[in-house]
Formats: sequence, structure tokens, C-alpha cells
Amino acid sequence: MNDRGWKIDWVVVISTAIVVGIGLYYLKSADEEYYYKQLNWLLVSAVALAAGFIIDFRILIRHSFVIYIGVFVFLVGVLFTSPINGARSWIRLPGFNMQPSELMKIALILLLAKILSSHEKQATVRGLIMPFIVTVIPLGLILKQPDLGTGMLFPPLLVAMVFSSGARILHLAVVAVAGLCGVAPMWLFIMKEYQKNRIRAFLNPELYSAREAWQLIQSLIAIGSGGIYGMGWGQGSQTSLDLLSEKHTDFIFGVIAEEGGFYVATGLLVAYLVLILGGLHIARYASDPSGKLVAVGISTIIGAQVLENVGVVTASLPTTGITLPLISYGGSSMIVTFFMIGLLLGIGRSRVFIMGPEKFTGVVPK
Amino acid sequence: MFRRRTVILGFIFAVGFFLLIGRLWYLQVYTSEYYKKMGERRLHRLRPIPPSRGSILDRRGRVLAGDTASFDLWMQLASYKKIAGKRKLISNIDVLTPESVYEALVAAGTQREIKLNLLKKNLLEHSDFVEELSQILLKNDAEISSIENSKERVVNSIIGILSQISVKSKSGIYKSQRDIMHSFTDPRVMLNDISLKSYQEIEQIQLNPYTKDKFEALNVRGGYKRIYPYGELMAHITGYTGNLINSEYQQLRGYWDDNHELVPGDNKIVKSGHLFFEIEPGSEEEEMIKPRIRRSEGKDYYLSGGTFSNETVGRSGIEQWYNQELRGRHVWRVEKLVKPNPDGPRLFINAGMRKDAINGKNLKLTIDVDFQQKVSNILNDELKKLSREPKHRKVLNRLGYDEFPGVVVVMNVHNGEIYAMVSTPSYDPNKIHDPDYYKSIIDDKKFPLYNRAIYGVVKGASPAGSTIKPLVGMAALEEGAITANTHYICEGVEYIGDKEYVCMNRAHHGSMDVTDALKVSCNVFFYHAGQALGGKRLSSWLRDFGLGSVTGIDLPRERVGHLPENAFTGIRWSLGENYHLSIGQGAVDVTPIQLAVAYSTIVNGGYKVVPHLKYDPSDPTLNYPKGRFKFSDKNVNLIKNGMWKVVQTGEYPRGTAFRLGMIEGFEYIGKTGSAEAGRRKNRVTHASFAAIAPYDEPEIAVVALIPYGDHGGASCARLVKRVIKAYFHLDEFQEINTDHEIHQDKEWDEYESESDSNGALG
Repeated sequence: MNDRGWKIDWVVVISTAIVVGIGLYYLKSADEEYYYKQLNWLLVSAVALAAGFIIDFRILIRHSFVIYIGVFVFLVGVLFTSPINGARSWIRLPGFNMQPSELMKIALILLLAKILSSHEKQATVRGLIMPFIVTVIPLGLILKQPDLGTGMLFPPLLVAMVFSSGARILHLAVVAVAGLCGVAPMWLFIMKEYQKNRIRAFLNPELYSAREAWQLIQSLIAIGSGGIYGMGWGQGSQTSLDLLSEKHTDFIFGVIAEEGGFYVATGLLVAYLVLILGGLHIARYASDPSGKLVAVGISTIIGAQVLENVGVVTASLPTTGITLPLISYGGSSMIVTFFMIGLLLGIGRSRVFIMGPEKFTGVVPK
Repeated sequence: MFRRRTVILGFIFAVGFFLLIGRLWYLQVYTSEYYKKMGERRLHRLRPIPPSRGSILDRRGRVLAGDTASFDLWMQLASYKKIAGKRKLISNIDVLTPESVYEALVAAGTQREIKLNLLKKNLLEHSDFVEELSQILLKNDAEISSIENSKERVVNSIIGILSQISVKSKSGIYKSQRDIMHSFTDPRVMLNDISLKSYQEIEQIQLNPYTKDKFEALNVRGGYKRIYPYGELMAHITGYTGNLINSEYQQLRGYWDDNHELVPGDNKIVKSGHLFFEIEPGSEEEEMIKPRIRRSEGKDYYLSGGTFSNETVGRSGIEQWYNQELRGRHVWRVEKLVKPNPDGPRLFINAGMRKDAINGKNLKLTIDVDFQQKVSNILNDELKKLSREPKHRKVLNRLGYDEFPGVVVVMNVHNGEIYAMVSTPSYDPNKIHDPDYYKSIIDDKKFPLYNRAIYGVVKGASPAGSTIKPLVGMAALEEGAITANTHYICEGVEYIGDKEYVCMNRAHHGSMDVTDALKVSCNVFFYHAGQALGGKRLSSWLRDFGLGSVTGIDLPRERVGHLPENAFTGIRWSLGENYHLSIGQGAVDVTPIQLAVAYSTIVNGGYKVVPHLKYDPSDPTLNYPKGRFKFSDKNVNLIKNGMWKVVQTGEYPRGTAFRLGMIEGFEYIGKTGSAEAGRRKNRVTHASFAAIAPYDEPEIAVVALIPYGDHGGASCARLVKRVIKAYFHLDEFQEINTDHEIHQDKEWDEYESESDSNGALG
């Protein structure tokens, strides 16, 4: 079993540590109570990271369909629970509430990796049907909760994994058009009125200044008043006066930008980018074909989540509820993200080269 | 291919992140100032700070009306909101739609009642708003006992606000639907004086962006509550306060008419001939309320203008007359949101420049509360005694009264300062805003709201009766119509044709001069004196004495009274009417305060004083007389002599006020009156007695009127005597003894200490 080495990709580890460190520092400013809770979650997450690192991802790939079905059952089951804050996203377990949609991220990545690496028809349209189906069905269930934020991560995940496994650009374009066509029925049948209002508010914030755009404008004020150097830790007026809502979860980037300023916010984004590029680097030189795809999936989903969250907080995208990975308070998201990074590092254990691509002369799949 | 595609993926991510960093640069560097300013603005709010109203003090500085801090809950039924770009009227209370309220308001009669009751039921049973507000009030206000009680209170106040909305314009025409609906957006007082804890809880809910929608209708304003420590005793003098109403705001600030033309306001309101409310041009107050246009997205919205936060204005008495002096001035104050304690609540504090509202000026009155209290006690005591007499039962039963109403005015004859003015029954200005209480005093047959000192009898005319005789005598003497030696023979009745004009009880007074005629109140003498004077001269003299015109006392709604017009012109003026006018009957209508002024004129050297309540010796408008008569001393002494006889002559025929009015060892003068009013079947007699004391150097005029009280000598004389005694501190020891008769068996030292304290008060 020990055909893999014990190499650790320090780029990923260090960038992760920087992100988590910055996150904890400002979470303490945003809400001290949640900071201490988050420290507890961090301990659990460290275990998840280690597990992801040690477990052979190939075993997970092998059983990915079973895992997928298991999570799928939870995803159906969650729709029959009573809603928390208007959404049926949580399954109450003793001690904490679990979000099946978070688990679905891993399950879907594993299953897609299995499907896309086990046959060679990605270049044909028929090869794209199966990945499309396994993505769209859980996506529908997640939108039904409703959890638009998590749902919005799946299309880029599918596209990125299909793309990197060799699909034709033309086919992807067709899928993209089909996806856009799917937006219309989504607007008509799936999206709730408040979600539509959020999009309307995003498109025309002046008209919706009362309720829908409140968070948005507060967030912009927080970020804008941070300036270049920030207002200093614990000094953010919008933050400390509770004018910025959800500041410990979805809008924590607003706190960081207000108190840390442009430098810290940019530094954080660069750290994320390094983490993602590091993940893609691991994918690029991983020895196992399914491992490559898993690494691409993990990098993509973390990257997409960061882009979506920061895009929302800076009012570059319509408001959806999505956490900032590794920083926002929340057990499920934290554990799942750490586990994914553990898997990523695990994939990086067995590389086909150490120094660089030119010097490597071994077998390169595809 | 895989490797190339991961590079492409990485490139896409890098582009995405650099776009975000660009966005951050735009927000945090390029437009940072804009957002900083916006954030600062959001932390600040501009609040109109209500001023406290000046206190009303008595002449020795005791507070008769003053402000105490309170929190008031204001409600805005509905507000305009933009929904998908359209401006719509949205209800702020969950179960009330503007349409349903409008329907209920424009319905007529019982339909309106039914619809309002439906709304009420709906509010009581289905409204989360009412439920939550009631819970908060129940939790924090000690006086509310149960949730039902609390809900009832909340719903009643909402329904009260609904019924305040007028559906008709001033001219009585129904307003347009748009105008009625628009007035739903005016904030109105919902509950006065809620507790500090309720206020804080409501404010915390409103500060939270997620819950603020719930209480959008509410607005807690810090303000002041008017307190009247003496309650009923001073009610007719101080009056009470209320809030400025919409039509008054329109008069002050102007308004937009239907064509969006600005109808400018006057900036001031005059009431009862006195400046009631004025906004200085260019002041912050004008800024606060003026109508304005808001331009938004190329459209103009015509805003009707603001209201003051909790503007209290006088609605009667001194509060109304001197409103402009008593009221303070509103100012804007900038407040900043802070969080003094990381775990504590967020608070708005005064930011930077400390600017307090300009409080109103205090006002001192000529009234002495101690004396007023004594007069009030004496009056109530006398009225009680009078009402117990069997001969008065009949008239009281017919009127449906348990006790007589009555009034006493005590005025300085030289400068018109009023020392006491007691009108019974009275009302409690502290409770006037309680709808049940207000209804009870409105429905009271004895009309407690009216100050009889300036209004007379209230129901029906208030003829002067025999109290007019000194004035008629004075006029006749001055005009030379009669002299000191003129004697007329009274045979108890005088005839014009076959019509009888009787003297009191058809008494045969025999031959008498003017002093004796005053003493026994002989009608026949004055018939002849009036006849000799003639209608024109008689009426113009009476007018000069101040009858038939306001005295100018600083109280609103003073009754003008009446003098018959025909007497001035002489057209269709009969001798019979002349007879009646000479003895104060018929179409002559006099208030006690007019009588006090007229009597003062005789004894103070002919000065027509202006009666007033405001104590300010340096104010010329108050203390200088309106005019002066040139009376000859001989005539004045003659009239004074006659009025002296009324009180002081004990041998037969006695003066009409001697039996009950005479004071041992103290000389004062006066004239009784028993004025008949009403038609033959319902004829009633109003008792009055006007006195000047003391005889030698006149100081005060005391006028008492007991409507329906029969004869002045019998009903009012003892009352006036006791008032004069109280004023000049006569018979103190005797008074104390009679007060304490029933306490004879008390221990000696306790008795002694009590009499000491009473002595000190007296």
C-alpha cells in the first residue's frame, strides 16, 4: 500500500496556514464568542486534515458511488426537516448541525473523478452525459433547500473537471448554453422571491435600498472605509457597531477589509490564489489519473467558493449565502474544507517528479 | 493535454482573483472617501430635540404647571415605499391595510362603527405587531396588569389614531381618497409616557436590520409630560395642553395644493386675539416643518412637511394665552451611534457640538395658591350648605344637579391683578387626555370645562340683576339726571299701561334717595332713574363701564356679554325695556369679571383697569388702565355710601347683605344681585354679590356668582364675607376654633401644634 511517499506540499500547507491565521485573527475581532468555538472546530478539522492525508484516496474513489448514494440520501432527507432561518440545509446531530450539501462537494468530486478517469469518451458528447446527470440531480436538491450559494459551486466544478479531463471546448460551450437556458426555468420555478429580489437588488441597488441591499451597502461601506491601511484590529466602526450583519460567517471578508485594509485583504486573496495554484500544481504532477481529477476538483471548488464569497461581499456578484472557506465560522464547512486539503496533500504524496517537469522521464498518464 | 488544461485553469483563477483585487482597489483606494463618509453618515442621525415648556408659577413661585421628562410612543400608520420602482402606500401594521382603514373611515354612521369594530377585533386577535408591542409594554410597565389589558390599551390607541384622521376638509366636504390615504403617513402620538425599559427594548428592535421592519410603525420620542400639581384647583386658570393639529401645521408652514402649487403659511397663529404660535423666519424650526420637494430619479415628490417632535401647545387658560412665551424652541441635534461596552447595547449619544433645545420661559401669575385654596374651600363649603337647604332642592332637582355651581373672583381694584379665581365645578387637567374622563366632563350637566368667572352662567344668559344698580346710579348722578336729594316713591309696583313692573316682593319702600334705594335694592327708584337718564345715555355709560365688551383678561374664550343694541340707537326702544335695563334685567348679559372691573372703576378714582393673571409689574400692557372716568368725589361717595348701607345697616329696613354679610369691626361695601333669567315657566334666579373691601381705602373687589342660587343676599353674602375675612386675615382665632370643634377631645399638645400650624398658614 505504501507506494506513495510522505512528501508534503509545503506551498499548500503554508498558504493554508496563512489563510487560517488571518481568519482567526479577524474572527476574534468580529465576534469573540465564535472565535473560541472556531478554535474547537479547528481541532476537529485538524483530525479531518490528517485523515484526508493518510487515507488512500484511491479507496475513496473505488467506493465513490456508494459514498455518493449515501450523501444523496442525506440530501433528500434534509428536505424533510424543519427549516432553520428559512432553509432546510441542516441535519441535527447530537452536538452539532451537519450540512449534507457540504459533504456532497466531496462525494461529487470523487464520483466525477471516477467517471471521468475510467472511460475515455470525454471528447464525445455521450461521455459528458453521465457527469452532467450526477451533478445536476444533487444541484437541484440543494437549490430546493434552498442553498443557492453552495449550488452555484457545482457548475464550475463540473466544467473544470470535464475540461481538464479532455472534453472538447465546443461541447463545453454547448453545455454552457444549455446551462444558461436552464436559468430561465430556475427563475420561474425554483428560486424564491427573496432570491429574485437579491438579484434585482444587485442589478439595481438604488431601487432596493431598504431591505435587500442593506447588507450589500453595509458591506461596501465596511470595505470602502477600510482604505489602504485599514482601521486597525477591533476598530472597524461598521463591524464593532454590529451594522454589518453575518459578520462572523458570510460577511467576514468585510471585517478583514475594513480592519486590515487593502493590504491585508489583497494578501489574503493572494494566499488563497497560491493555495489554489498549489492544488492545481499537485494535480498537474499527480501520478494517479483519478487523483489528478480529484485535485483539480478540490482546487476548483475552493477557488470558486472564495471567488463567489468575495464577489458577493464586494458587490461584484448577486447576493448568495456562501461561506468563505477556512475563515467563516461554521463546523461543517471547516471540517469538509480541511478534509479536502488533506486529500489534496495526500494526492501530492506520490508525485511523478520532484524538481521539475523537464527532468522527469517516467510514465505520464495521458 | 491535461497539464496544459490545468495551467489554463490556474490562469483563469488567477484572472478571477486579480479582478477581485482590482475591485478591492477600486473600493478601498479609489472610492474609499465616499464610503467613509457614507459610513459616518450612517452612524449619525439628526434628531429634533423637544424643548421643555416653561412652568407656570404662582406669585410666590410655587409651580402650578410644569414639565417632567417622559417617553412617548408615536405611530405612523403607513408609509410610502418604492416597490419595483413604483411608489406605494404600505401599511406599517401587519393586519391593517390602508384600503381597509380608508373604507372604515369613509363609511357613515353605524357602518363606520361596525367597520372600526371589525378592525379592532382583527387587531386584537391576529396582529403580531399588537401582540409583540403588548408583551413589551406588559413586561416593562408596572401599571399594566395583564396581557389582555395591555393589548386593549394598544389597540384602543391605534383605533383612537384612526378616528383622529379627518375625512372632511374644513369646509365640510369629503377629502379626496388620495388626501385621506396620505394623512396615514403623519406620525401621531400613540401612547404617552411609556417606561424607559420599554423605550430601550423598542429601540434595540428598531436598530437591528433584521427586526426593524416589525416596528416600522413606531417611533419613540423623548419628550415632556405636563403636570399640574394642584389639579382641579387651578384648572380654569392654567388650562391644559395638547398637540398641534394638522390644520395648525398647515397654517404655520403652508401646504401643496392639488396643482402642486405651494400655498404659503403665515408662520403664526393668532387665537382669541392673542399671538398663539409663531415661528421665527429663518429659524431651525422653520427648517424642520416646511414643505419641500424631493427629486428622485427625475420625479418630484411633494412632501407635506414635517412635524415637531412632541410639540405641546396650550389648549385653554394661561397655557393657551401665553403659549408663545411658554413654549420653547426646537433644535436639531446630531447624535452618534456608539457601543460603550463591547457586550452592551448600542446607544445614540450626543455627538460633538452640544446643543440643547431652547426651553420656554417661566410665567408668574398674580394668583396666590394659598389664598386660592382658601377661597376654593370656602366656596365649596358654602355651596354644600346652600345645596342642603330644602328650598333649593326643587331647582336643583329640575336641573339635575347635586350641588350648585359657583364662582368667586378676587381682584385688586387698582391694577387689576387677580388674586383668586375659583369656578366650581372644575376638572383635572392631568387627566384631560384620558378619553373616558374627557367624555365624563363633557357630558357633565354642570359644564366643568367652563370658567364661569369669564363666562357667567354658561347655560343661557347671565343677566347682571341688581348688581348693575350702583353703575346706573353712578351714571345718573354724573349726568345730573338725579342728585343726592332726588327722592322717588316706591309703592311696590310701577305700571306702563296695564303691564306691571314690580319691586322686589312688591315691597312698599316708600320715598327714598339713591343710597337707600341701593340699600334695599329698590327697583322702582332705578326705573325712574333710568327713565330720567334715557336709553342712549344709560347704555353708553354701561358700555363705558365695560359691559358688553371683553375686559381684556389674559384668558382665552372670554365672553363678551351683551348690551341691548336698540338702547344705543333708540329705535324701537320702549320704556319697559329701559326699566329692565336699569335694574340689570332683560337683554343685558354680564360676566363676573366685567362686574369686578366696573365696580373697581367707581372706587379707584375712575380708572378702567385691565384684569390680568400674569404677574409682571413692569409690563405696561398689563398694569396701565384702558381709560379713566372723571367722577366727582361727591357722587362716588354717594354710591359708596349706598353700598356701605347694603352691608352695614342693621336697623330696619336692613341692607340686603347685612344679615349674612356684615363683619364685626370691618367695613366693606357691596351690592347684591338676584337676576332672573329664562322664560316664565323655567324661570330661575342667579344669585350674585359684588363687594369692594375695605371701605376706607378700597383694595380688592370680590364678585361671587351662584347660578340658580336664588337671592344674592341670602346665597352669596356669607360666601363673600368669608372670602374677605380670609383675605384680610380677620377672625383667625375664631376660624381655627370652629375648624377644630370636633377635635376637642384630642390630647392638648396635639391640638396646640395643629392650631399653631394653621396659624402659621393663615
